[in-house]
Amino acid sequence: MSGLLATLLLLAGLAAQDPAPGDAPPAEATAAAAEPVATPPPGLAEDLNAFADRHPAYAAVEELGTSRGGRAILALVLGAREAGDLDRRPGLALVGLGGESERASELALALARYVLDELTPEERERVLGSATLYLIPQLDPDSPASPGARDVRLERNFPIGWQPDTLVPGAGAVPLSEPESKALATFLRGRTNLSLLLGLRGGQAELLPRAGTDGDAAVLNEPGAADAGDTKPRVTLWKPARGSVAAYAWEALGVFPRLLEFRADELQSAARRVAQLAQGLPRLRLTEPAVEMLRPGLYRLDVRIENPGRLPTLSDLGAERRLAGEVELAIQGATVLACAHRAAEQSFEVQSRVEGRYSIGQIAGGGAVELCVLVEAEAGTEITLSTRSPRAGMAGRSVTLP
Amino acid sequence: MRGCTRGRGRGAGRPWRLGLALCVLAPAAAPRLLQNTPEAGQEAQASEEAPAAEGEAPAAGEPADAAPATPEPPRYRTADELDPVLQGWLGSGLAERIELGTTAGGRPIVGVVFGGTGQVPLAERPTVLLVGALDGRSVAGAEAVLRVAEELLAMPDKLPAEVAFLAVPWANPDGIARQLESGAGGGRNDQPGDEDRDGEVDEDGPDDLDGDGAITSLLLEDLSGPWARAEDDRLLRPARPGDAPRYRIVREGRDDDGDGRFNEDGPGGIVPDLDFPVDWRGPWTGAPTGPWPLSAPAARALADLALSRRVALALFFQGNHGGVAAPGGLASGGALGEGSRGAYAPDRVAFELAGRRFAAATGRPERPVQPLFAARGEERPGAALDWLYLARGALAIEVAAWGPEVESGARVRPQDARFVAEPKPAHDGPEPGGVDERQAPELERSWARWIDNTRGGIGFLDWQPIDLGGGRSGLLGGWLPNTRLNPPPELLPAAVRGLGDFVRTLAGDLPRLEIELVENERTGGEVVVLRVRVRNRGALPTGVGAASNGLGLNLRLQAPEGVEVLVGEREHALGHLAGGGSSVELSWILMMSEGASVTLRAETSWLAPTVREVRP
Repeated sequence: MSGLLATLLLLAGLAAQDPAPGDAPPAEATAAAAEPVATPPPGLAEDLNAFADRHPAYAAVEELGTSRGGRAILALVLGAREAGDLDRRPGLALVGLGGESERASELALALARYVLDELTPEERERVLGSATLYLIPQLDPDSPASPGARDVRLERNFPIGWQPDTLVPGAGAVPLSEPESKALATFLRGRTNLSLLLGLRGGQAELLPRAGTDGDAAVLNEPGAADAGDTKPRVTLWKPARGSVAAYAWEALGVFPRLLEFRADELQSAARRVAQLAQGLPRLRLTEPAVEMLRPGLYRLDVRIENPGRLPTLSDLGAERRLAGEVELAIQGATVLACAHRAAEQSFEVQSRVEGRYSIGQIAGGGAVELCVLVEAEAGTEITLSTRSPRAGMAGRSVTLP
Repeated sequence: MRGCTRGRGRGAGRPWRLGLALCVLAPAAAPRLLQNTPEAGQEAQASEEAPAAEGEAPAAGEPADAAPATPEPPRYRTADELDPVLQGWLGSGLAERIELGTTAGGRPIVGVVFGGTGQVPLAERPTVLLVGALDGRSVAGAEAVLRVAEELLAMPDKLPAEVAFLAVPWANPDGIARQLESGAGGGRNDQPGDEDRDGEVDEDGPDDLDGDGAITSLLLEDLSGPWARAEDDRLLRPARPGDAPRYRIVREGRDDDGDGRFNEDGPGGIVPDLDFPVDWRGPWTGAPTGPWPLSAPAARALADLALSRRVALALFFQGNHGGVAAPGGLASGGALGEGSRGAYAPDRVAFELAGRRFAAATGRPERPVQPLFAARGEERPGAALDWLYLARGALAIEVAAWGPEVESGARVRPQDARFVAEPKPAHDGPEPGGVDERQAPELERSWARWIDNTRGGIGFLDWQPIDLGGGRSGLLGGWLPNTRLNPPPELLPAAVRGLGDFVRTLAGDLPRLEIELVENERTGGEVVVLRVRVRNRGALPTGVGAASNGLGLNLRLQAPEGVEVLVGEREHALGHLAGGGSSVELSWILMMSEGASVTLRAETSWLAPTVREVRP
């Protein structure tokens, strides 16, 4: 298995970033939490930092930027740091754009409390062991101090479908004119592992779905399609209005935008719901391959890569626009002669190899891809199969040839 | 040497011998049309008619009031020559240098602001923005801005009062440098880009497959391709159902990264002219843009400049349609609205006036002003022109110094109907339509006429089969670089002739507000009836585009303490006031003591405030 681990680390480029064993967070995360450059909003920052202090192995506070009023825009990042780079595992972001009715701060804190304090270690590992939750409770930290003071509305200040404020009041003279919207756009763009963006307040216009992206329509429009069980509180389509962050996430990043609707007395169940959604993120699993010796030194491997998550490894729109990479398979320890991908019951499509990796497209939520790989190696050789995807993380398995 | 244009006559009955003689020159001489050497200019002059502007106006690159004994052949100047150019301008005492920023390639973006007499500081005056070659390809546009600035500064007493001119000759220095160097690059800046999002940058650009020193075009047979060969088989036309063979057209080159696509990730990244927010398209659509609008430093710098000034006229010198174009980068209308055909209806008068001024100053035929996509023959999503118009309320116009009609021999005949034909949809999905579906788009045919009638057919290489390896083949040929995009140097004087007059005249048309007192009378005691008329003495309206968000004409009555407004509003949003002396009347009933006064302040986004104190 050591070969497998080395391959995974190599694939992820993690060798230099692998955290030291134990509960201590990486130095840069500690520094970011301890020394925010701007003035953080009172109360919330203390609460977020308290989680990071109590659970350094699972929580850290990151600063996205500084608001127009000079306050720090903070994110609480939840994920098991021991398992590697948080930005390379399936990710979910929760963002509060502002407004008293949102209760995003309360939800973020309730979620952190639920996951970090209330779950058993095993349950916590199940949620945070293979996924990363980015909680941005207050994109506009100035709003509590000076509500309504802003001319530009952040939810109209993102680039997709943007129109100038001569046509759409509050949109700004240019998109991303506000430090808060620019910080969020930059943050989201830098997290190529994100599949889901949760908001608490929706737009009215409907830009979704696009023609030719039927798979997305199913995920986006079916109530609870991205859920793992419960039906309350409701998780619905976040209809991305022009210039909204939802439109940006969807159209520019291929991230599914969804809206979480809950009443004040449903805070705890909303927190549980977000944790469930995290378990529905796309992920990869390699089943035990069937190995057949065709002749001495030549083997056929039947490989099956599954996505046990509920979301696809990338939206159809994202795949069409090449917004993130495909699921890839790499094989080490043997010479790969050919690889084919099962397109139908009895038909295969030959795959092309680029730099030792086979790109095999995307895998729908709950779906799988079957591959036939012909390799050349001596009997008894241990070969390593590994698969990865920007949005679904990675998986690996070792096989000893008979 | 591969096949070259044969000068096939096209009904002109030209002797084949002439075509053959010129044909020998084509591959070697034509790609050098833009070379910045005196030899290149002289060589071209030797084989073509003398520059029409000679003796009439100084050539580009010379001070307007100089009388050189030996005229320097016309040539394209580069951004590296800015300092010598500026020396002359700054020496006039009228001009100030402005640093706008630095491009992705580290080149400075420099502007010059100047103006005639007036009390108002240049930064607060209505500003005429002169932008050269933001598209990075129309290097003649940079020359046009230089020429316009030189002409305006040469006659400072003729500059309209209280107006500022802000010239940015090389608005996209990265793209311009690449265009001058290679004749290719598509106007992209030097920011490396991963256009095909495969994790590699700039790995599949054009290649000179046949080693002739020119990057031309490659036709790839494709069952669902959008193009078919036109009746004039040099040219392409939108494919119709049943057409075969059909083609995709790409730049000359190999599939360097082996992904089955050709030249989809070449050098450079963003075209600043298409990086503005209105109707912007992301890189996933194939548009040469960054992660979000204004991510190209040159685009950001220009936007910041526009946000900091009272930009009334924004003239973008670029394109090769030879005329003026109004906003409207999308065939669908985009943010302007479906069926808008460019500018909003009330603004068309202003654009038509600009079109008349252009025709009168340049001597070119007067045409209806088309929206940008129609004039260009292709969609221009995210165009700077559209943002300046819609977001800043500027009268934004694309001025194409170069076009197939600049040389009089190539003037279109009335029956060609190039400018009155219905606009065609974008290149990526053309639909048949128009007069004759067997014909290429009219702009293409105009260029074909131009090279046939005035250049002996030089400028187009016939399509020739070429083996692309891996069992693939294509047809190599098409327009030579720097044939349609920019004039050969010897035609520069003709291309820029009259543009200075055009700008000066149009700037003189800017609105001028007056506040006229109609009635200012005490009707008894402290009661005063005040009636005023706000009049626009300019030919242009007080603004264009949406009049919301402070862009319209606003009249404010400022009454000091002790003055009471009994009837009437203290502030009037008057929208845009048309030009030609039109006016609007407003009235108030005030209660004010003897000796008191009120102030009326009229303001638009274009004009510095006009203030009048009224004392009954």
